[in-house]
Amino acid sequence: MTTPLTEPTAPGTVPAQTAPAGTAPPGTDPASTAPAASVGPIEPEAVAALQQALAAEHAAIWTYGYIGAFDKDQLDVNRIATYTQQHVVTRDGSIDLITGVAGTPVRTEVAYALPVEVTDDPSTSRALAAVIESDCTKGWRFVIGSTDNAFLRDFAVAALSDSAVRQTAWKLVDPAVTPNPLVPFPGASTP
Amino acid sequence: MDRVCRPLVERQRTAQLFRVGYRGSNAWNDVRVQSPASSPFGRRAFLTGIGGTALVAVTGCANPFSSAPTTRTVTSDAPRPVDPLMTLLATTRLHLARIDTGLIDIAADPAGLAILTLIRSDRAAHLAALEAEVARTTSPTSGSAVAPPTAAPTATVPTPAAADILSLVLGDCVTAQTQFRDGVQSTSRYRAALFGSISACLATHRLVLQPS
Repeated sequence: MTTPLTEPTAPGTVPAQTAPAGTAPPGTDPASTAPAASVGPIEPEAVAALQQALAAEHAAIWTYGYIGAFDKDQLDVNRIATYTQQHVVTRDGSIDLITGVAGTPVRTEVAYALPVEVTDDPSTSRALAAVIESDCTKGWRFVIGSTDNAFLRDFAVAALSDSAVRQTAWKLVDPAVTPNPLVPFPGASTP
Repeated sequence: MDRVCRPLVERQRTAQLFRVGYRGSNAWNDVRVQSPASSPFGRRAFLTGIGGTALVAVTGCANPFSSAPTTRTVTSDAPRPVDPLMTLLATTRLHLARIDTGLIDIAADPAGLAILTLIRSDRAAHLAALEAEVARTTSPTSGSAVAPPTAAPTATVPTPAAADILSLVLGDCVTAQTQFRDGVQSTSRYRAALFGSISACLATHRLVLQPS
């Protein structure tokens, strides 16, 4: 699992201009306040789970940027761009959900400790990508099991499915490395 | 009471009719009809007042001048949503049986056999998890009776092509994924996480089964 190299920073101490690219400061645009009316109340434990899933999304976006500097396989480059964009959409949706219930979303870290050493060999990048997608599935499954909110459950199931599909797609590239690309229970701690 | 409640207009009108001659007169329609508004106290108003007072006295509530808190009990007739566990269990069992049949028919295709074997392993794990969830939440005495084995059909059917078998399994995956995703909405948190995870697994099955 990717872990941040720095201690988590207090959200209030980070300047607003360090927000991830493409994300408006929370509460300043209509989109960030729209879910509050339609989503309904979200339990505190679900918000905490959502924060963990958001942290995993931050780590995934950072990691895809990292492996993009090593993996020069053209198909992988396209895949990295597509999957990064998908994670950005999920991250923005998570931020909107948290700010919609007056929460302060966690911010991305400066750097993360990687569980797989990435080299110029594309298989190392693919292995790392599969690991971070697995981390995301764990975060989103935890969200589903933490809430009774129908909208949040649906959002989390979609995010869980997307990460599971991306994880399988990375494993399918190197069938020799991972003979079984499938996981029977994505997101479960004990598959 | 009749003396009190009888409308004045009616008495006046009756007297007027007798005055002008009720029978054999051609001008009886010219008698001016007095407006009920001129009546000081009508029968309808009186009965309405009596009825309203009685209603307030009997119910003992809904008094707009009372400062006492009132309690309203609202009973909802909407049925509770049905937990989809048994439906999803049946779906998984059916699809697993179809995969087992497909494994026999696809034996000549090593690539298809490999894919279907992996998918069967996942679906068997799903079935085991769902059966464990049923066993966890139901008493041992309420188990369903096991149906006696039926004789295998003797009709001979042609063996379908490998692509057709995989296409059939893909269709089952789409159906099951939709059912599990819908089931997430109307169940407990633990089951919702289980159903969501299985739905995500079925999404990966669709990726693997997609014809290249």
